[in-house]
Amino acid sequence: MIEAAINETAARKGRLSITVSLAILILVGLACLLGPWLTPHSYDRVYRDYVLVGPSLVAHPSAEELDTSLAVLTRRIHADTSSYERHGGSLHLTLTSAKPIDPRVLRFFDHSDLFGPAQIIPGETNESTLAFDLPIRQTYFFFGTDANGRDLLTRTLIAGRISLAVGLLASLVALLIGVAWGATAGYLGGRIDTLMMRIVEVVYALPFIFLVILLVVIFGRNFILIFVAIGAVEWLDMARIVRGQTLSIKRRDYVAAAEALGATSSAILWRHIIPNAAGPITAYLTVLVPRVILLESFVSFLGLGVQEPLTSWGILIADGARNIQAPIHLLIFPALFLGLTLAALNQLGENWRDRTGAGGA
Amino acid sequence: MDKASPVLAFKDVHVRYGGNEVVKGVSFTLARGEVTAIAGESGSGKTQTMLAALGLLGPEASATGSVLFEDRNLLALPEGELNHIRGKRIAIVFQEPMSALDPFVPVGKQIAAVMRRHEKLSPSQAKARAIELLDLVGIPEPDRRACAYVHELSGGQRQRVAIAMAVSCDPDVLIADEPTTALDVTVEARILDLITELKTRLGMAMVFISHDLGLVRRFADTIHVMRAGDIVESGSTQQIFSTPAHDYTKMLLAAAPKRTSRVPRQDAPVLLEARDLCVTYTLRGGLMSPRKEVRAVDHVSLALKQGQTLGLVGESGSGKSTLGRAILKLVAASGHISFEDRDLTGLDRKAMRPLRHQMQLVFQDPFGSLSPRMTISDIVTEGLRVHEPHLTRANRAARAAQALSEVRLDAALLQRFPHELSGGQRQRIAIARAMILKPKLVVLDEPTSALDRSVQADILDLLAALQKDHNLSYICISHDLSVMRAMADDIAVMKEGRIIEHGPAVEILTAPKTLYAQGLVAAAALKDPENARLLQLLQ
Amino acid sequence: MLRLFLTRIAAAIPTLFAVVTLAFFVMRLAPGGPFDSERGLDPEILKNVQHAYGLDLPLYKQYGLYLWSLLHGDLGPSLHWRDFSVNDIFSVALPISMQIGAEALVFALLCGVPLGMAAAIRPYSWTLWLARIVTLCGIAVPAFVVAPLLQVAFGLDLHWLPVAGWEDGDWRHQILPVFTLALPQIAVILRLTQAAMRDVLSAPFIRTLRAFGLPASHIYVHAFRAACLPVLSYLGPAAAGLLTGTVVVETIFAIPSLGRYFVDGALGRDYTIVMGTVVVVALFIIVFNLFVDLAYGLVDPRVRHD
Repeated sequence: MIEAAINETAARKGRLSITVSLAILILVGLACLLGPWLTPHSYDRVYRDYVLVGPSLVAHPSAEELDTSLAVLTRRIHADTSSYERHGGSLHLTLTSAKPIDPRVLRFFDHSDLFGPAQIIPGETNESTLAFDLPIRQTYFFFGTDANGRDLLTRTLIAGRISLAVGLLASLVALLIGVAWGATAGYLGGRIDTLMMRIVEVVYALPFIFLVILLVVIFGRNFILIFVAIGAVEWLDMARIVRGQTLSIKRRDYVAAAEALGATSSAILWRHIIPNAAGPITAYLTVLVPRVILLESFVSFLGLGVQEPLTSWGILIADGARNIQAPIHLLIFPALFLGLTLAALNQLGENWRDRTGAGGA
Repeated sequence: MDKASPVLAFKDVHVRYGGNEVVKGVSFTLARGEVTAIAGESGSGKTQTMLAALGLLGPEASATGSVLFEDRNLLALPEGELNHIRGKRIAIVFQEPMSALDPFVPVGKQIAAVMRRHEKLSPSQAKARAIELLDLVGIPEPDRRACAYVHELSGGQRQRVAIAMAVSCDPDVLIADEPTTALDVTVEARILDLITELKTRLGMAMVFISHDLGLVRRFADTIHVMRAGDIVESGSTQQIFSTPAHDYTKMLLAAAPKRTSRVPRQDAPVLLEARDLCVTYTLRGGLMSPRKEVRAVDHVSLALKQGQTLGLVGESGSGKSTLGRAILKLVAASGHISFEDRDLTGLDRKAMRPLRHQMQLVFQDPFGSLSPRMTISDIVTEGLRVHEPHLTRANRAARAAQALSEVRLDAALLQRFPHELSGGQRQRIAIARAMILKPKLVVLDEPTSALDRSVQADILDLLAALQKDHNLSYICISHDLSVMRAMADDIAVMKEGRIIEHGPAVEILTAPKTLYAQGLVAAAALKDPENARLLQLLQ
Repeated sequence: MLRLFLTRIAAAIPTLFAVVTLAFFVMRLAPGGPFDSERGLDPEILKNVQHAYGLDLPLYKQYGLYLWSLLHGDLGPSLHWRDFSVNDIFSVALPISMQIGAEALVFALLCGVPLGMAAAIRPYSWTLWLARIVTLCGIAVPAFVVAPLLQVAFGLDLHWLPVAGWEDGDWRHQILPVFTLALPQIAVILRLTQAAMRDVLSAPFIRTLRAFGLPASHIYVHAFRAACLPVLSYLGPAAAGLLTGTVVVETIFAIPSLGRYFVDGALGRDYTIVMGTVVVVALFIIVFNLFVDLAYGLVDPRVRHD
């Protein structure tokens, strides 16, 4: 009775935390899943005129960008002067030159990312003067652009797909292998158990990164193989935990009762051991998923992860880290997403572990 | 301070956890040198009341009211002042010494630490005093034992250490919270002797908390009976035992479960026979100690007739549970077992399977014997899936409902989970799970030890009724002689893996031959309230 | 104690053997060889070079030869850095990795344990918040995010610390790498200590200490002894985690140590370097875990007698 009352107050505090973490995760997940289709940019579209642009809520081009761009363009077409007036969303541009101006120079303006197709105004145009209306193409880059002029927001969201997918899939692989291995070893015991856990020990003697690097180097940078490699390395801890759980559950009276009833080993494993180990298994999953996502980022950072055109948060952060002299937004935004995901997952995990009383870091 | 004023006065003490009130206005006084017992079952709030007095409740609890000690309200004292009283003027002995003592520090040092805190002794003085105290509480070779760690001592010795720590600073009040509940019967008797002797020698007042009224009869002056946070009856020991007023008190005092009149047939066929059973465990060595071989069951032979009940009595570590499981072939054993003239000795797991429905097991701990993730229906019908796989789901459900009604439970419970039921209900489910297979033999491993007193009698009645209806044979394993008295036809007394005495129940219970069995019977008799009442009447 | 030591060493040998074998054959599975990047190498010369390194022998013979030289402590010649043997390279690179790793571990313990205890005891209201923030940073901000940020802040903007490089162990060059490496471990150690302390403080034997009027300081000291056990158990995985982290940290801060050589070796199919790293790392982890187990036995008397 007393314990129930204590748990009641703790549970209420935990529930808020769980809701917030879940909300964050769902938002990030939805954003990464649906976002790339909703943004006006595609993740590989290059904007040559918008390289390394900073994040901004205001539409591009800004007044400075207009001036700079016009100056560059004017020089390129060898015009002497240009002046412009702004009418709302378009410019009224007048070019003058000593030599005659070929109307085809308007193509330069068409190719620019800042402007739409130009419309010549016949009234004001003659041989050495070209007057035209130039609509300004409004573009938004909320997160800015990268060194190739690609929209960072879309790329971050697309990268999220890969990072989250690898995280979930590799965790699933680790879960399946780990549970099967650990439960079998724990329940059968004896020499089989010793052998199986020896194998775990051997693989465990190598830190994960070395193993993953080795596997990736050998099997190449294939998307599926990467998450198999990560899963193949991360199942070890899960196997240990499941084996530990199996050993302690094996001694419980309800397992002995099932044996007295005559149930088969597999029936006992399925009906009693695994369902009762589900608590700590799920608790460890919430540690595993962020670890896997982090490991994938590490590997991608080292240049051994998924290949172009696919991208992941690790690759984006690596780009940002390499250009530390450049504006820092390249690093911040993908790092923010990664950090938010990791933090929410960890918080969720902690609360889950508090509720079920399962320990372990 | 005159002699008449009480040393401890509880006045309207309430303890709350959030919205739950677990102690609802408790008031009583304790005079100098008086022994008062607080009796009640689990959840009655008896421990919470005393913890509140010493300020040992957790942060989620709030205590109101007053507990006066030397004109100071303990509930209102700041921690610093309270620390001068705790351990020095008021000391406490907890129920479970293994967890109550520090596992990382040798026991002598723990006692010394308390004395150095309160009595300003030097380290060597404190150590010498600690050894004296260990000797006082009856620990052999106290100077050697003082360097031992808690896990190296036996249960009884650990509790002696806890008692030594409690009396080290000569307190005015000693609170003993179920100090013998976790101990074996014979050890229990000796610890009680120790406590009463110390009390007389040191002149302490004592609050003795227990769920067992019969236990406290010998030395308590007054008794308070608590139930669900309230004191329902108070009085002198004599009053409570001779003229109990409240129904609850009467229920607690009720004699041990009655023996149902049942005469087992003498010509019944032999159902089970075991010869020379041995079960050996190898303890794997720790960091420093080598491997050891332990004989849990040492050349045991017995026979059981149809419709008969064999009682296995012994203390913890006697091997009785292991023997029960070895008979059911749940534990590897050497020796010969035959069931209904069929030799089970050589059968492997697969061959045993079809026979299992005839021999079932009911466990001690109703909390642990039901899988927490399965519904009651699944739990009860699990055996049917193995032995009658042709049954449809509807059939199984019908059989489950039938099984539940046999154990006097409502079929509506089938969809619930174990944690939603009470201890007594869970034990009935465990019995139903065994009975649904229509077994001939059921091994009952301490079937009522984990249950409250009020529930125990019901369960034993149920078991007796089922035996009569189905002509079952029982092997009833227990350390509690009153259960034996109710259930057993024959009794085998076990000690360290061997059967040291075997005979009809009546004989063993009234005139045991071996010294060990005599000790068991004597210790049990001390606690028996019916016995106590008889003695009371005779005086 | 001695018995445990010997049995563990006896158990470690087959493990080490299995690790070496596994790595050897897995490495050879990779397509390509150590000399693929040599541009325009004459096939004749290529054959000679391969023969010089014994790479044209059947695989099992190479394996046997490698084991033999391993038993003599010789890790073989580096196939990539031709003038050096693996032992030469490691004698420089290994101490650096060890130094950074050890400093990071000590730093993580010095930060994490007191913060964790404070978070559990909560002497001031802000201790819990500080612990939360530190934990969050360690978990959510990986090494390769922290490092560049620190490089920009302390190296480029404030000019307090060098951005990268090792300069033979100059103390200023050690600060950023060690801190970056330690940060995630601080978070884990903090959380472990906090949880363990919280559990211990509600344990029955602590209640007994309070019941006997022992002061708070005494209680915390005794609680700490029980609370440090999970951290002790974690030291093994912590070492493994630090080794993982070094690979990234060394890359970012351009430190010439084990991780760098391993990655380059793996990419360049430098068999001996890769094998050498595997052997050294596995050996280190096994030995480290052994010492952790012994230390655990020293702290917890229950384990000693079992």
